[in-house]
Amino acid sequence: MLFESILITCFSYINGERTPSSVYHILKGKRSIQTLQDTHIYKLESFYGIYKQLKRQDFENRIVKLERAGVLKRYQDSFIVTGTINSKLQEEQLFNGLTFYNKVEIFYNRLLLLIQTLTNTKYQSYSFIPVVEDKEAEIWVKKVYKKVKGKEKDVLKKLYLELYEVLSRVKAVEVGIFVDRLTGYKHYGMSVPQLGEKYKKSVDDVQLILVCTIHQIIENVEKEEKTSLLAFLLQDTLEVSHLTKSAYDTYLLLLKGKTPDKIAFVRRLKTNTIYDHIVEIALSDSEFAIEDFVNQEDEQAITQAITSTNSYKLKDIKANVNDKISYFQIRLVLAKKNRLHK
Amino acid sequence: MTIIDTLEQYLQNIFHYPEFREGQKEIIEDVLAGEDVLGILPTGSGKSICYQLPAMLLEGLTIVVSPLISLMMDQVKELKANNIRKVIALNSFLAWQEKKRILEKLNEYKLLYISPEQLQQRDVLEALKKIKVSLFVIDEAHCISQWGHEFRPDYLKLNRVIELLKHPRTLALSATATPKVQRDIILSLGKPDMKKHIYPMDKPNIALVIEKAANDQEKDKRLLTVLESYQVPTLIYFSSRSATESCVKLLLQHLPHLRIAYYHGGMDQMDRIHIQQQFMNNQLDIVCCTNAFGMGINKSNIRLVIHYHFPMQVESYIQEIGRAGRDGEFCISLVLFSPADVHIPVQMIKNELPNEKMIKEMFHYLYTLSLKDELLPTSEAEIENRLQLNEIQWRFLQYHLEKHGMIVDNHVIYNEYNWKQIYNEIINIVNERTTLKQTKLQEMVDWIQSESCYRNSLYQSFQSTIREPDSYCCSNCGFKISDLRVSKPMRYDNENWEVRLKSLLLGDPIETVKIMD
Ligand SMILES: [Zn+2]
Repeated sequence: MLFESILITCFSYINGERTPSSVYHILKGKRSIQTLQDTHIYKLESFYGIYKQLKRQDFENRIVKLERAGVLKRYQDSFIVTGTINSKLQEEQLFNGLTFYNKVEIFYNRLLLLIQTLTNTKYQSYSFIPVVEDKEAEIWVKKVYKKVKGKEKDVLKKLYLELYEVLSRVKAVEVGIFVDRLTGYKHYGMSVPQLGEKYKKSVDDVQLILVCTIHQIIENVEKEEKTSLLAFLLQDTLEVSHLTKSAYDTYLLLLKGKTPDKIAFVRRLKTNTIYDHIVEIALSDSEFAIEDFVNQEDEQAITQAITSTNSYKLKDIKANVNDKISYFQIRLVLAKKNRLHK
Repeated sequence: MTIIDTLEQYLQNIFHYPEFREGQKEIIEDVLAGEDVLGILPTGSGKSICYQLPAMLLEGLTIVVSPLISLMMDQVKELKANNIRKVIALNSFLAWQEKKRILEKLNEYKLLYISPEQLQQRDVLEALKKIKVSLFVIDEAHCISQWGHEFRPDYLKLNRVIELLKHPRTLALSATATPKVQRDIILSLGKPDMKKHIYPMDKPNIALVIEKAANDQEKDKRLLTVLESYQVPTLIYFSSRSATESCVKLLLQHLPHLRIAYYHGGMDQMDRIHIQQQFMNNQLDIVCCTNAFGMGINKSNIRLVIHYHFPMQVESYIQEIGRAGRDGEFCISLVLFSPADVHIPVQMIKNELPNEKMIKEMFHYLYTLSLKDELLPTSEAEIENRLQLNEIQWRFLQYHLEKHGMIVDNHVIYNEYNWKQIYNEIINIVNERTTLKQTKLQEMVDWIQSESCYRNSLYQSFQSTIREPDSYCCSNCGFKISDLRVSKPMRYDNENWEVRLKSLLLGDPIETVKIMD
C-alpha cells in the first residue's frame, strides 16, 4: 500500500518527463548529479534514498502491476498516472529522505547494536552474534561500551525512557514494527519477512515503515533537548563530516544537482579546485557515483592500467590509458577503490 | 601435568566446551605431533575444533580452505563471539584495499579462512610464502574428489599450494566420504602417509521415515498433519527459494500457533542472521530452508528434519539429517516423496555445468578477444554477465581454460589446433560429470524406493558395521510417526509495543517458553 502510494506520487510529480529509472534512482538515493537534479526539480526530496534495499527487478515488477491495474499508463519513455488516485497517505508526508540521507543507516545500526550489546553485558553475557554487520557501528559501540561498563542498567533505563518518549510521538505508522525488530538479551528481533507476516504488510512496506519511523525519531530527537542519549547516537553520523570546509560547501552544491562548472562559477573558484573537492568527496562518501565524471568504459580501462602497472602512480597509469582520459578521472577511480567505508 | 590434561584445559578455557567429542582429541594429538591427518567425522561432532584448537596452540598461521563464504563468515563470527580475535576470512567480497591490508599483516593472525579460488591468486600466495604456515586444513575435503558431492575444480590445485608453502602439516576433514573418496583425497593431495581417523556416520538416535505422496497437495496435507501432532524444533528442506516462502505462508495459515520462518541464500544478510539466531535461541519452531541453511548452525535440539524435496545425493542427505539430534536425543528424518519430484534435480544437474552452446560461445568470445588483442575483463561478474553463465559454470570453464594454457593472466593465447582439442575435451568432461551426477541421483532415488531397511541401505557403502538404533529404526522396519505425539504450550506475545520495549530494555530476560524439549 505505502510503497505503491509512494510510487504513484513519484510518477505523478515527474508527470511523464523522466523515465522510471530516475524514480528508481531517487528511491535508492543515487549520488549522481542527474538524480539529485531530478530530486530537486520534481520536489521529491522527502523520498530521496528512503528505500536503499530496493532491487531493480522488484521495482519493475511493481510498476508492471500498477500498469495492469490501470493506475499507471505508458507515456513515451515513462508513465503517467491515470485512473482514480487516492489522496496521499499521511505516512508519505513524514519522510525526510534527502535531509537524513547520511544519518539513517548509521543511527539505526548504532542503536540496534548498542541495545543488543548493553542488554547482553548487563547479564555478563559476552558471546553473542551481532545482528548488525557494520564496522563503523561496531567500533562506535565498543567505545561507548568501555565508557558505560558496569552502568548498563542506568543507560538502558535512559534509553528506554527516551525511546518511549520519541516513539509515542511517532505518527501514522505501526510502532510495533520498529520495536519487534530490536534484539536484546536472549531475544533476537524479527526479520523483515517475519514482520510482514505479523503485521500483514508487504516486505516493501515494512522496510519503508521502518525508515519512516527512524525519520520521525531523528526529527524529534533533533528538535528535543530531553533526548540527549539518542542525540548522542546521532553525533558524527555524517560520513562526510571530516571533509575540509571548502569541499563540504562543494558537496552541498553537488547535492543540489549542480555541475562542477556551475559550482566553480557560484563559488568563484577554479574548476580544477572543484575537481579536487570532488575527489575528496568520492573518497569519503561511499555512495558517491563517479559515473558523472568517468564513463564505465574509461573506468575499466583505468582499472586495468592499475592492475597491469601494479602501481598507484598517476603518471604510470596515465601512460597506459587513452590520451583522452584525464588525471582527474584517474584520481576519481583511485578514490573509489580506496574508499574507507564498506 | 600430562599433555592430555592440558588439551582439555585449553578446550575449556578457549572454547568453553567441557569435553571432547568422539574423534576430536585423537585427531588433534596427531596434528600437534606433526602428522598429516585425514579425519572423517560425522556432522555434528565438531570438525572445526580439530583445527581451531591446534591453530591456537601452534606457532604461526593455520590456513583453512573452505568452500562456502557464508560458512567462513559464520565461523569467524562464532570465534569472535568467543573472544578469539586473531581470525580472518579472505573472500572475493573484500574490497581490494582491505584485502591488501590483510595480506600485509598476515603474520598477526592465527587462523585464516580462505576459498580455494582465492588461494590461487598470486598476491595471496606471495604473501603466504613470506610467513610461517604451521597447519594447512582442507575443510569439506570430499570436494577434492570427482566422486565427492560438491566437486570444485580449484580444490584439485591444492597439492601445488601445499608444495609452494613447503609442506606444512596437512589436515583433510570431511563429514561424508566413501572409501573411494578417501582414496581420491589422499592421492590428490600427494600425501600417501596420511594418518586416517575414520568415524562411523550412522546415527543410532535417528529414525528414518519415507512417505510417498501422489503430488504436492498430498504432501502439504501430510506435512500439516505431522506438524500439528508432532511439535518439535523442525527443519524443512526445499529445493528452491520460492518453495520455502510459499510453504511458510501455507503453514502459518493452518498452524498459527507455531513460529515459522523461511531461510534461503537470497535473503538480506541481516535477516539471515536474525532467523538463524532465533532458531538457535528457541524463538522459532520451524524453519523452511534451502540447503544454504544449516552448515554453520550449531543447534543441538533439532528433533525433526523433513525433506519436502529430496537432495541430489545420498551424501548431502546424510549431512542434512546429521543436523538433527546433535545432543544424542531421539530425532526423526522424514522424506516426503512424490514421483514428479525427480524432475527437479534432473533439471538442476543440467544447469550446473555449462552446456555445449555456452562453451561454444565462450570459445568464440575468446577468439574475438585474441583477434582484437584485448584482455579478458578482470571482473568475473562482467564475464558471467556477458556470456550468461552462473558463477559455478564460469569457474568450471576458467579452470579448464587456464589448465590448458588458453588463458594466462587475462591474456588469451590462440592456437587453432589446440583449441579444437581442448573444446572436445571440455565437452567430454561435462558429459562425464553430468553422467556421474545422474548416477548419484539415481542412487538417492533407488534408496527412497528401496523396500529393505533404510538404515542399512543408507550407510552400507560408507562403513562395514552399522550400529543398532537406540529406539526406532525406519519406516521399512515398521516405525510410523503417528505413533508419537508432542505438543507445546501456547505462547503469549500479545502485549502492546510499550510493554515489549520495556521488557526488552529493562525487564528480566523474556523467558523463551520452554517448548520443545
Ligand atoms: Zn530399518
